[in-house]
Amino acid sequence: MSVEINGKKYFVKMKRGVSYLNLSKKGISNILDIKGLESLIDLKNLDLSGNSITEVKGLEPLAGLDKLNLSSNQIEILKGFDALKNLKFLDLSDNQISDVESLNVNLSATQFFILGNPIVNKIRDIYGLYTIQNLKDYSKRSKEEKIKIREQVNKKKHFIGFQFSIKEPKIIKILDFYKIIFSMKGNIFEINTSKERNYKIIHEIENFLMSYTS
Amino acid sequence: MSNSQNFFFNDLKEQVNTKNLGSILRTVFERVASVDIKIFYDFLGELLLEKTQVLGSKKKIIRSYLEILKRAKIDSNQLIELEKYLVEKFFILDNEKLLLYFQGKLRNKSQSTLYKGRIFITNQRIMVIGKEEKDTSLWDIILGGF
Repeated sequence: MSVEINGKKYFVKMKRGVSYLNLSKKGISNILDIKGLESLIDLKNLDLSGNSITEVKGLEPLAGLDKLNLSSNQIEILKGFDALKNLKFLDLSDNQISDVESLNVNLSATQFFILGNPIVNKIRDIYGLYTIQNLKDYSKRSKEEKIKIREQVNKKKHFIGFQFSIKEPKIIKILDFYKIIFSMKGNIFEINTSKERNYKIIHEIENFLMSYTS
Repeated sequence: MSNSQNFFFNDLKEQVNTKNLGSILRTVFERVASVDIKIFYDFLGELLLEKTQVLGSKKKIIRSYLEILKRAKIDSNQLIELEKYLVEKFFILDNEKLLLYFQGKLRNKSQSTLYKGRIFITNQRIMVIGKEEKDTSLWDIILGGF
């Protein structure tokens, strides 16, 4: 089985028992230009990365597809995936998706990559959501839940000061009973109550950080 | 707390969408020493959560906030209690709990940054309200840390 692009043939190969077609970096700008693609109804893995595709159109016959790589293209809108009911892996990294509403698309893929798209910064700025899983989860929330998430994110985002999430704290040293040095995710911090020499506070911080660790 | 103070801030809230931050803050500066500071904190908290885009960048907001405090001449004990009120009312998350708060310094040794002010420790975050300074501690430079 093969497809043809600009007169050149590309064959479906078997990779660990799975049918695989590598069309990476073939100068494709329109999926419909790939002759014979519509007949590959049993194809499992399709790599279209590194082309200049702007729109996902023409993949409907590939209902058996479970892995699709569309990274490093020029796709702007998340659509054209409805027919791909068996899709488990979808890579859309490094495209041009910027519309937040795109996230309301119904994707069956359980692994979904979208980093390197303008939408990621947009979502991060608006909602403070950082992980892909969160982005996908967010799109599925009810309106009330979305409002609740935004409220919580705003509370954290707009805190009038400086803040550090407590992650994997480890006490390193306590100095003169009024300084405590600890590490969190590779950064070294020191809390100093020197002005008041507040031993009690240092002791409480010590207890708290220890309880957090255990 | 008088009705006139409430009117003052309610009026300001209405202006937020039409006036710029500088103009609003100037009005607050003029009155902040004579108003109930708790009303000011309610005003500020609501603005921060609802009108952030109008208020501008976070750095700008922090600078303005510190400037307001300077003009308000609040003593440090009163200040930490007021900020606790602000933190608990507006910034604590649903599953977050304020555990400790005190005056102090938080030094991020890895980034050579020093935060001076009021420190609030919750079960999720360490927060500091105050100034950020580049840490130029000679002791740290010579000894390379601790």
